[in-house]
Amino acid sequence: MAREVSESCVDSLLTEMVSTYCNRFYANKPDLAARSIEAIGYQVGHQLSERYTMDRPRFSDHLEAIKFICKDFWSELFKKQIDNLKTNHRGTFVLQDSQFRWLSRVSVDLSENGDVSQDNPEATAENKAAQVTSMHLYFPCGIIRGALSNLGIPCAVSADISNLPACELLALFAN
Amino acid sequence: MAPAGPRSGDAIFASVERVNAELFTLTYGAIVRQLLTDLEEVEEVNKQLDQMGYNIGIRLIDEFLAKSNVSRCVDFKETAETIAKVSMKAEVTWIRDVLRGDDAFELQVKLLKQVPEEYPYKDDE
Repeated sequence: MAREVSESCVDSLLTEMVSTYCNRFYANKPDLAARSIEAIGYQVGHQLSERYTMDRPRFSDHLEAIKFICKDFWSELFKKQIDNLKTNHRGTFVLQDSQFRWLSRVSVDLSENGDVSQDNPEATAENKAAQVTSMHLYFPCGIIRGALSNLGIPCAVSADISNLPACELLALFAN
Repeated sequence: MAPAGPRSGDAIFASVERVNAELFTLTYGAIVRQLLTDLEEVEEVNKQLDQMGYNIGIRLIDEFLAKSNVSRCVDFKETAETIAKVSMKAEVTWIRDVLRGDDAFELQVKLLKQVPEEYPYKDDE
């Protein structure tokens, strides 16, 4: 039986990690913060995929590997599978989680009048909130990139959260 | 003492959402690894980890108090006892591997009951 911890431990750790990198280390360099957070995710994904594929034979192709990520891997992490997988069969995969666990408690208030001028302090605060939220996504992107890399598939992963709490992860395979 | 006694740690743990412990331990290890890459100085890394731990601790104690139904602790002895007996069953086992220079180190840490450093521990009350 796999050991468990309370979810608040993971939530707190991730929130604190993002906060440390965004506010303490690289307060004005979001690119560097993002890079570090993604690197942490990469490490975790690499090791987790190692553990979760120990007892099974190597995947026969890219699609099998992605399906593993969507089903078994996602279930281990989030107790549910990816809800929707789309591909153009030319190296691009879109993984859709309609209720992404790590963002389920994030509130992002969309500005009603869409005013993003500098004079509007509310809009600036909301932009900042959206920026912090997107920072959280670098971690799961890194996890997927690390997991796929360990399965022999180098790729780039990005996320789209225009439909919270749904999250779309885009994986672009190198070749 | 309040009429309804404090809930046991097992009961609380059974009632909260739980996730895979490996995710937690590996994430922590990866964070430490990245901190070492970014900060390079072990002392600086420890300082940051301490700060992170402190911030996390403040949040966890809120959840603990909300869920465990303990009454307010009168002194620090009671606080320590409460934490020891009713603590959340979120044990993470870590052992520190101090092979410096080895890139692929494995970190495992054991989280014991937290002792507040600023105040003396009252033994005889």
